[in-house]
Amino acid sequence: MVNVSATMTASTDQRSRVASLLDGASAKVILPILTMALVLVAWEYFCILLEIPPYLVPKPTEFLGRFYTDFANIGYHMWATSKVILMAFVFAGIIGVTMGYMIVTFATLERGAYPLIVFLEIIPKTITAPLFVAWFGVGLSSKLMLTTFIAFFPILVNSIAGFRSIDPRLYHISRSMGANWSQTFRFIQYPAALPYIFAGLKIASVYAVTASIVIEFVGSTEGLGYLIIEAMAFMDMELMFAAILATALTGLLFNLVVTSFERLVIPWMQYRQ
Amino acid sequence: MMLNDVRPEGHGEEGPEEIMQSAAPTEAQRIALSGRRVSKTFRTKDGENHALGPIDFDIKEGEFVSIIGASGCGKSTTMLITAGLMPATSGEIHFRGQRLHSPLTDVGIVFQDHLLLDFRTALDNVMLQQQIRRLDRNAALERARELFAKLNLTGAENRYPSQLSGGMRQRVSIARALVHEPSILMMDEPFGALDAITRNQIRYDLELLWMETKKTVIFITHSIEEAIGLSDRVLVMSNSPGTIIDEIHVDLPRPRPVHLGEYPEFTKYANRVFDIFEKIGVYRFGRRN
Amino acid sequence: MFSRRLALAALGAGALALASAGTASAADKMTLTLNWLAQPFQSGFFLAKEKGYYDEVGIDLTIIEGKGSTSTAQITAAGSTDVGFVSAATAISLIGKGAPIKIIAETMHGNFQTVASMEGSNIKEPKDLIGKSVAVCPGCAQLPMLKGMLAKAGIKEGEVNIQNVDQSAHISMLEEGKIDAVAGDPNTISIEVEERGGKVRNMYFKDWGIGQISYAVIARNDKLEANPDLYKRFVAASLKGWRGIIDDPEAAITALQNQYKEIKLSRHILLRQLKEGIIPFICVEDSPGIGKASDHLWDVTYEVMTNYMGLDANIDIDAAHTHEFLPADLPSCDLPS
Repeated sequence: MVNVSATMTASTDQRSRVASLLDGASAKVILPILTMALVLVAWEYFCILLEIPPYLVPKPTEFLGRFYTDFANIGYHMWATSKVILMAFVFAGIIGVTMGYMIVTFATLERGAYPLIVFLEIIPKTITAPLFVAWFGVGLSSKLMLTTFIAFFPILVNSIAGFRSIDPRLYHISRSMGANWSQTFRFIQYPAALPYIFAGLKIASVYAVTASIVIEFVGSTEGLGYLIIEAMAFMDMELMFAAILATALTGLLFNLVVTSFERLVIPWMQYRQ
Repeated sequence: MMLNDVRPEGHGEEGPEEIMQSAAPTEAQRIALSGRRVSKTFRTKDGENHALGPIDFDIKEGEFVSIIGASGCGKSTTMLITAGLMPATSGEIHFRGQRLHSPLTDVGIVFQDHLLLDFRTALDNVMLQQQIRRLDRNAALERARELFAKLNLTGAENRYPSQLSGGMRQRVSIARALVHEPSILMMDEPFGALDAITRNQIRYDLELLWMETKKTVIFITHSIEEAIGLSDRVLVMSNSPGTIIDEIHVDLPRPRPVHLGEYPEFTKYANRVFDIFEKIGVYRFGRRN
Repeated sequence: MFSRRLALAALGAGALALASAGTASAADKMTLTLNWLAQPFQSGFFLAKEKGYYDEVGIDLTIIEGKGSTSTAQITAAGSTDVGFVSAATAISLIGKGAPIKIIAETMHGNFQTVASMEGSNIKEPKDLIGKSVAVCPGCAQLPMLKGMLAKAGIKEGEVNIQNVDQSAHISMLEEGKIDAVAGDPNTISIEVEERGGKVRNMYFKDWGIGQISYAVIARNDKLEANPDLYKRFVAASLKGWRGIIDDPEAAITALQNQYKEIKLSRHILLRQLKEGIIPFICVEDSPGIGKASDHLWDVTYEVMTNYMGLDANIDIDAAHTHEFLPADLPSCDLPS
């Protein structure tokens, strides 16, 4: 009797320990990795099962191996692309939030500028990218400009929503406190808009990666897009897929950075309804 | 410090008559706020909407004045104009003799919605006054904690608004309006969003708090009970465009119990308002005795 | 009666029409996918079609424009097209990766790709490119050629600034001096620039060691095995067309313009491209005939690709191509004097 209850408590202890392990922050890391691994295993299996030709789609074991062996090369291009994305992201953030604030504060700007911005953004990247290269040449400036241009739109839209979300009667209260413009912005408008801005930043992080790669396809001297194109020219499918994997990882990394930054800057998010 | 039935300061062992007398306005009391020929017309896409006035009023220092009327009659507009937050189409507001041109800052405002910043704790919300007005932090903190205690908010200091009940949020809003010790308190249907029980309790707590410092109060409501229960004077406003059609001096002792049915005078005052409302069509009842 | 005789005659005519239509539908349907959009340099096929060489051998040929040699080679390997026309290097690379295809005719032996630069820039040999910028179109075959040429000249990676630029920008960037050189097709670059009054210097890859077989016809192995006769007929008719463009370039351009009315280039430019940029390269010095490269050229191809273009040295180059589908009497390589 005693032994049974002892083993029972031992197993429940184990179960609760496993449960707490899965619940914690480790879950946020373990689960995605597990899912990724499962996808890769399924991919490998289907390649073998359906006898997919390697010159069309390489197996995960093949391109993962190249990811390891060519890591220096891939890493160099990954850094080249990431540099641009980072800079573009910062510019896009500053311009997007500022413009969002302006548009909400000055109604005429909304009527004039906003439709124009939407019109420019709707033009597909595949058309605007060659234009940017033709105007600004191949190199950092055209990459930076196009990536900034594309990344800033979700930040702008969400900033507008954020600044709009403030109950206008709050301004009665702030005005009766004697708050000047700077105080109103710092204490009321900016913190209220932050959650929305971060939503925009998360979307922008994905857009920025795709924009950066697309323009590298069109005109570049380095970067993951350049590497993918180069691999394609050499018919090196394994390297190409390894570079594609690196691209996805870059996007994931940026998204992660933004999410972590959010948790740092907006600790009150967890307390919202 | 819970105050229960404490006589107003400086009156010792006086009876109700004494108190009633001091509640009546005298020439000696200064005018805090006054409005002359104040009116407001809104321009909308459907044309012009004459919403308010013209009205004239005087509010003395330390007086608790309610404005009561039907929805949309212009009472909230009156408050915003008096606070300098909305320009009048015509007429003037004077604060202690000076014409008002810009938002009044020696004031605390409470709206029907708590309008707290959901990204600040309750205490930090109140301390916004200190931050913006650049007041002494320690003094303000002490005052804030004091107010929290008096408003039954102890323990709520570090909670976010989303973690508080509706009644508590409104109390925090009141604390925010008082922490900087303004001369004037303006409240626009502050208890409108609360349930009846909370409403009564908060009304009781507010009166006691007010009695400590006797600020000038403008209180907008559509509840006859609240108006009579809290005020020295009730201004009754007609339907839109609102004008002041009656002024009731409330001579009841303070602090007033929540169940005002005890006092026959209450029924007298209440009926007066009901009759006016019936006359102007706010209420539509059958024949009454 | 008059009307009855007329009706019988009509019936008879109808039956005859049906019979002849029957023989027409007995022709084999084939699709040929090109490496890119229709240009003068594929006009061997267009001329053959125009002159009815395919009809003569009972082939109903549909020609489809392609999206790059890589894409066309993959499509052929997947079996979505019967025959493809691609850069030989791309085909060989794909075969090296296990694609079940073969080269059945080497239609263009000379590598006519160049590194083009404006006359004044003095870029005469690979070493002149050190420190300069060269544009290559995304995923284009010229990239391995360029890198191969630089490697053969002993130039290290990074000494030449290779830029990945969409081909639409090449000419403008060259003319405006935004780029020092362009690795590309002289037909589209030099001739265009010259027509506008500029002067271009071409550095041919084949002069600097990158002289592999240029373009070839490929087909999937199982289709070849299933119907070898069909492919023999196709090759014969096609090579006749390729000979035809040497004999009568005007007719070739006419065929091109008839079949692809959307081509905007002037006839004059198209003719120049054909005569200057293509005809001289159909064969090289030791070519036995149109469609067949010499063994020596195959050796060179193997060498260049394994040393400089990343081809796995273990590839069985002989298995990558076959001459069994070539006609017995190959069209000659002789150029008109």
